[in-house]
Amino acid sequence: MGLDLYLDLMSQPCRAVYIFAKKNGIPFQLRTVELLKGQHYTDSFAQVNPLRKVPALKDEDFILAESVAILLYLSHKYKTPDHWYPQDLQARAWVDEYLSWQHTALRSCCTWAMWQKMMFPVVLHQLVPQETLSYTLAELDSCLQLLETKFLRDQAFLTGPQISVADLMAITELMHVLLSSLALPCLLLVLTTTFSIPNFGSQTCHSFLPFPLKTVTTHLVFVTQDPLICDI
Amino acid sequence: MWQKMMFPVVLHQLVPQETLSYTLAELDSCLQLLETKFLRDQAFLTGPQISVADLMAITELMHPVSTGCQVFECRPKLDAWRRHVEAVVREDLFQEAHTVVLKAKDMPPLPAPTLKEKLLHSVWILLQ
Repeated sequence: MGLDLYLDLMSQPCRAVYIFAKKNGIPFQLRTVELLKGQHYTDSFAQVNPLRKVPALKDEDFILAESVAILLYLSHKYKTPDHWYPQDLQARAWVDEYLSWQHTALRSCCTWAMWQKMMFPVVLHQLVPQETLSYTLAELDSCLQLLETKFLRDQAFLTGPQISVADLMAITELMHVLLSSLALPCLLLVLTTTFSIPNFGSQTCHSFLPFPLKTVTTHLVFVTQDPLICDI
Repeated sequence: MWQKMMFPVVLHQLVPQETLSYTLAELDSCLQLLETKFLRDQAFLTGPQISVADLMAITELMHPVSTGCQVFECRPKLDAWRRHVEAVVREDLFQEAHTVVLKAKDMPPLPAPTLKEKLLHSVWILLQ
């Protein structure tokens, strides 16, 4: 049976889980759940996750939902390098702090921005009032400001000198914003100067994007050494 | 809590009935998930003993309770869980922690217009 990861790479937290598992060589079977086809509403998927959301994990008979819980479970079970989720009390607490903050802050802002800027008008042909969109973009801007001033500061990564699961959660959220073509200068500045994530941009984790990843990479700094193997 | 109490009572901001109804329906769905996905037949949300998850949940639920929402009355399983949590943390501590929120409905309207405007601007999203 082994480890199954139920993911839709349209979803930000799914991408974080995917990158984490692939980067750490965790063997898993990808079970794609296409949200836009409503596959998360099926009875069979409800057996895996009664919350009907992705990502979800099935490890033999053990079932787990929620991206943060899944990332931490994988980091413990597969004893991934310490920097992903440090043992040090305070270093870990900083990661926990970001993981807690991001749910109702960056994640919320990025989701709302993408849906209001693109999904509603383009995919669902639903107009979004300008006032609503303006408020959302202002909130996103505030979040990005906090990302820089509260978390990033003068560090290489969000919670310290080395990459952690916090950075994966954040970068996949920000890619959502890029997808909806929000060319926010501060966002690009954050990405160009900070997220030098090894192996991140070289392959197709973000292949669902409607434009070549190379377009993004002209604005992003990657350190590509051993390419992330991707089987989609 | 904001739509049922804070907006109309403290900020004198009307909340459309449709919006409030939607919110209360969402709350009901969440409570259903709390019972069926997390609590199930256990004493506590994540197992036979209390954890930080139960503290996070009970303090959230006291928010709508403070507005008069019938969170536990129609849900005996959830009500039993609440009593388990209160027993473990002790009733006096539980009441002490919730003294302020349980009095929220008696809060007077905000006196300063500028403060009201500033607060309204920051919580406007809770009306959507």
